[in-house]
Amino acid sequence: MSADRGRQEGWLLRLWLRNALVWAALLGLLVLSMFLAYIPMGPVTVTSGVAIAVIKSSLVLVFFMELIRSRALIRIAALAGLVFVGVMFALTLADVLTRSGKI
Amino acid sequence: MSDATALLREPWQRLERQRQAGKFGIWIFLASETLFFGALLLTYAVCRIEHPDAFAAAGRETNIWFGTINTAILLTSSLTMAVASQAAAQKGRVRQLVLACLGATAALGVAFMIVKGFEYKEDIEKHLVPGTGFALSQPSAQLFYGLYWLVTGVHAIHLTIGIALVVRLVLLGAARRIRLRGSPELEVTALYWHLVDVVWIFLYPLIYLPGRAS
Repeated sequence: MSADRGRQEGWLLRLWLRNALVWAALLGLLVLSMFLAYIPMGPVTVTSGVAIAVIKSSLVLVFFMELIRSRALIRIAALAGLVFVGVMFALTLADVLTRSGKI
Repeated sequence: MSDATALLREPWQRLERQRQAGKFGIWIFLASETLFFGALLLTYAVCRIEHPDAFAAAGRETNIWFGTINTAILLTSSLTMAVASQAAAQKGRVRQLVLACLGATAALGVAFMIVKGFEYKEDIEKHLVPGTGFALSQPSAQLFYGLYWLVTGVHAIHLTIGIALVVRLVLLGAARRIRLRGSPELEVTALYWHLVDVVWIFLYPLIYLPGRAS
């Protein structure tokens, strides 16, 4: 019984530790993005906010949503949404960013 | 009654098949949600490219503290949800832990909505609703706030649905009407919750951070 309890406490600790590390990284990145927003770096300021959002969402997708342990079919389903959003952004911005005059 | 018998639903003959189908189904739904929110964010991006100064001025008017606190609340709710979901997949005695983590997740979701309510109240008092009497002089700042109300409103609706789904699991689990250990319903609810969090992760820099450095 005590060996069972010890095993249970062991995986419980690992479970919390593993997820708390991801959570701490997410909060750290949140604070970083807030501070970077106040530093005047031109276009880099905007890019840093979005880049940090991409890193944060990747952490959630990979660890909290367990894509790291998912089957290939699930990963493809997740990727499908991102690919089509990518196409939508690429085609629209290819137009908007190459216009010579204002609308 | 074994776990598999207790959790098995029509038309599935095996729990593992049911679990895989549920997971695949929710990921297809989440991919469609990604496109839905993607279209809104793309609209924002195009408007911001066309009106960078007005978007900077409008972004400065948002309350960064409400936004940052709410982001931290949602990130923490994702932690408790991840622990609930991963603990439920274990074989040990996890019922109390799963129930506590689900309860904390729902409570954090409600806390987010309360903070958002205070923020909306402040926005209304500062006349940041597009239309007559809008606070900012740049006409294009109204585009920012039009999108702000739309996107945060749609996100709040998603979160409310998430809270309802989590509370349902807590109530059914506490009454022992469903088995939480190994439950595909819990797994699917968790994935939905995390996506609502991911959407907010992108909204945070787009709503609260523009114009801070200028």
